[in-house]
Amino acid sequence: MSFSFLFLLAIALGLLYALWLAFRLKGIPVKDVSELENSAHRVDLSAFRNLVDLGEETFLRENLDAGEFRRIQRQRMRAAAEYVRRTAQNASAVLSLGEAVRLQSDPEAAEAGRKLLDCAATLRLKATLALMMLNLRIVFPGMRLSLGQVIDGYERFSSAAQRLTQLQGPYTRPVSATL
Amino acid sequence: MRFTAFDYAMWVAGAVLHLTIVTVMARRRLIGELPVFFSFVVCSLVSSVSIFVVLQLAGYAAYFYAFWIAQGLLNLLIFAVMYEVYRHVFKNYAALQRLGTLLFWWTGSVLLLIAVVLAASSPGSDASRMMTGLITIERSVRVIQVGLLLFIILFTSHFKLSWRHCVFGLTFGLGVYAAFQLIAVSLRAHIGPNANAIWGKLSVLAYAAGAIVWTRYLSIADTTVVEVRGPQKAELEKWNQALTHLLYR
Repeated sequence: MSFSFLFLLAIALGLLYALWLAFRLKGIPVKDVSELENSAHRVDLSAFRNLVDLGEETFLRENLDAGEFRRIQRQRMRAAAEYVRRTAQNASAVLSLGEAVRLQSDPEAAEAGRKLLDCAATLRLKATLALMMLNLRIVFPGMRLSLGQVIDGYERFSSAAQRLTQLQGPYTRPVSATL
Repeated sequence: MRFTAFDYAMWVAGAVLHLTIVTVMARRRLIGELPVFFSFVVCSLVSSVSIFVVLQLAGYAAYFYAFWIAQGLLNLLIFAVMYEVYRHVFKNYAALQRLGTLLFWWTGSVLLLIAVVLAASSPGSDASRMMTGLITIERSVRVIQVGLLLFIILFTSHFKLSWRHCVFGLTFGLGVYAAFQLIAVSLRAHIGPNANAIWGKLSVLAYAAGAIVWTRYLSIADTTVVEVRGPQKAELEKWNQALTHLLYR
């Protein structure tokens, strides 16, 4: 059997498996916000802020030897990552309401639902980025890393493309929509 | 090529399923919401009937060309349906829309590249160059369809985005159809003309399975949530601020 045949078979079976998983997840609908509140993870925001506080990190860096600092910093980042993971789960739980919130007949409730979803989506995205950053810092505890620069760069690139689109007229709109 | 009673039965079943989907969509007022999918179903029905008529009146050679022209048009429409699914899934999540769109187009480009490499690396087992070319194109198209559907499902699963029943059913049916089509066309390309019968039957069964899924899901009404309270949003906003601080510090 050729490699390409096995490869194609694998991606087709992969899609069927992913569909099966999606079907199983879809089979557990959440119908009420109170259901979410019961399953939500409690996360201590001030403890999290303390773990990722730059002043605290500088203090530890200056007062501990390099090896000890790395050990402690790894533990702090692991704990912070756990908090972010739980927050991501909470945001995902809200996202799982999705269309059910938006489709409400009362326009005010539908608008509130839309805002809630938007907020949860932003949080879920940031949690993904934060987890990537924290995992990097678990591997390299001494590293100084800010994802803000990357995000800013992306935002600048994206809005520049949007401006370019507006200057060029309506025919290029789909291009800027992809950024 | 000879057509058996099974082929004719599947043809009729396919047409009945198409008509059922059209009726369900009209009754549930889904035509305006899923116009591309509706066009796909109608085109599929029209092409199915036309190909049948061509086979009866003009013979196999005309049928061959009619089949592949229809297949090409339907494949283009499937891509448009996938984009419609994608738009429906992301329209409520402005924050994820840009990232999703960027990744969608990148995935499409990478899949196109993979399809080209696969096409170039496997010479095909047919004596007819035209048939080899058609099968290679068909397989490449299926690779891109399967890959893009896989991307949509993985992305939505990762962020646990919710689906409307009809949009999920549309994706599910399309996924079943595309995956089995890919298996069928890969078998045909690998084994050669001896696999023609398997290819034909698997393709028809794949489409029928997809159509059954579409009919089932298009008939289900969506549920709505009873209430949304303010404190929940306030809690999420606090976390948003904390993570922004972490990412920008």
